[in-house]
Amino acid sequence: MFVVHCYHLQLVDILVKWFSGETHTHHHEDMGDVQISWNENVAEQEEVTTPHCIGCAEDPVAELEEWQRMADIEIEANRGQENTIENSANNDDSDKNSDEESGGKISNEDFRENNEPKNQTGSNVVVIENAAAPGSDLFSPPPPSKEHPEHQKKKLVNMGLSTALAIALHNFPEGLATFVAALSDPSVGVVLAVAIGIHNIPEGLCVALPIYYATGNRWKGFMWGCLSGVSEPVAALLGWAVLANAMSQTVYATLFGLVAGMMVMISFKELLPTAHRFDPEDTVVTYSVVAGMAIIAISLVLFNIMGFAKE
Amino acid sequence: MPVAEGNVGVAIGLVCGAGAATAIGASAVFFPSIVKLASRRVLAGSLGLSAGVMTYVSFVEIFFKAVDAFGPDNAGFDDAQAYNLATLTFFCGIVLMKVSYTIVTLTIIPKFLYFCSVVILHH
Repeated sequence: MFVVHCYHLQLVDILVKWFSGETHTHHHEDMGDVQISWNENVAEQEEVTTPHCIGCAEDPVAELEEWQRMADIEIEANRGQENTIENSANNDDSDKNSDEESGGKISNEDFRENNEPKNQTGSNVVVIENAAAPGSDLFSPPPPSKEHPEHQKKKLVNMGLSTALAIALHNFPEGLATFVAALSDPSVGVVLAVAIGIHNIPEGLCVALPIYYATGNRWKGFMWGCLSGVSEPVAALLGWAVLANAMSQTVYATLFGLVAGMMVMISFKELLPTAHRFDPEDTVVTYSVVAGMAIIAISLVLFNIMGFAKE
Repeated sequence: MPVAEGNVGVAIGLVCGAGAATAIGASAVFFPSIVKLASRRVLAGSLGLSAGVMTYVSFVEIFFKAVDAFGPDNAGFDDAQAYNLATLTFFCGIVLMKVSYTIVTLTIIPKFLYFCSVVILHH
């Protein structure tokens, strides 16, 4: 558990340093061996490099909670930056009020965490430990205690990169599908583009956040998030190149068939399993799938009624 | 049926818009309040919505566009052949996707990613 604390501590330190802009003079006596050489032991690398499934987090819900916790800390840091130093005495009260204003969506743990002053790193460790404790009740494996903070960071970046690769991979057929569909029937293309855009938003988030939290560099996270989305227009341009030079209708038809199969595979292999992992009780997933179908069906029917008849 | 006429600009614009949504998500690193919006249910709902639209469009629209395009008016196959060919290409698409998933999980790719992550972290 202690190593995990150190990891949190480091991340918090990065955030605090970022927002306060001051040089950090706090020394960690217990973390003397933070600096690792590039040639580390093979066992550690093996552990990192053998994912059970590329692009799938082992525990997306825990990751999401971690991100929300980091966001809380960041929001808190932002607020602390805005406040003057004199207000630090009644900081707790103002935080409480603003949290209550924000609509009660914040859970009790976050709430308690927000109320803790963030100036002392010692209190951060305690708070994060308290907040992380309920997660371990749910039969989840205990956090790997032998991992180094540096190792954890590498794992985080590695996770972001794996997600980026997986997303770039499935954005490619999605871009191709949108392009092909929009070419043949703009109304279908619009609805498809909106649907793909909706789920691209959380995907960009899933790539950018781990890289940002590991490196402390916003632009790095943002850049890698964007890079995973670039494959979509690239696919469209490639599809255009193929279609513009295609001499036969058979190429066009084959592209349609392939794209249909790939989209079904993406939905069933990536989108739905991930959605169910975020929502294991299935409170929204099935209904949102049906809603998606209904939305596109209604829009297609409406387009027909309004007279944009298909050829 | 002409292969690509007139709509190419619209189509590429739509694709760029869909891709730009990724940048919107990635911009959450600048605005932590966006992260607070991304609750479990919101993420699950958006993924499910997209999955519904994509499967419906694939089965109902794109597949039958493939049948049309293979059909006697376009590629010149007769109706039965067109349907069979569309089915064949549909499952080819599924296999293609499965192959690309398999390629990505080959050991060389995660090793490369690990190398990249070390570089990113220390750069």
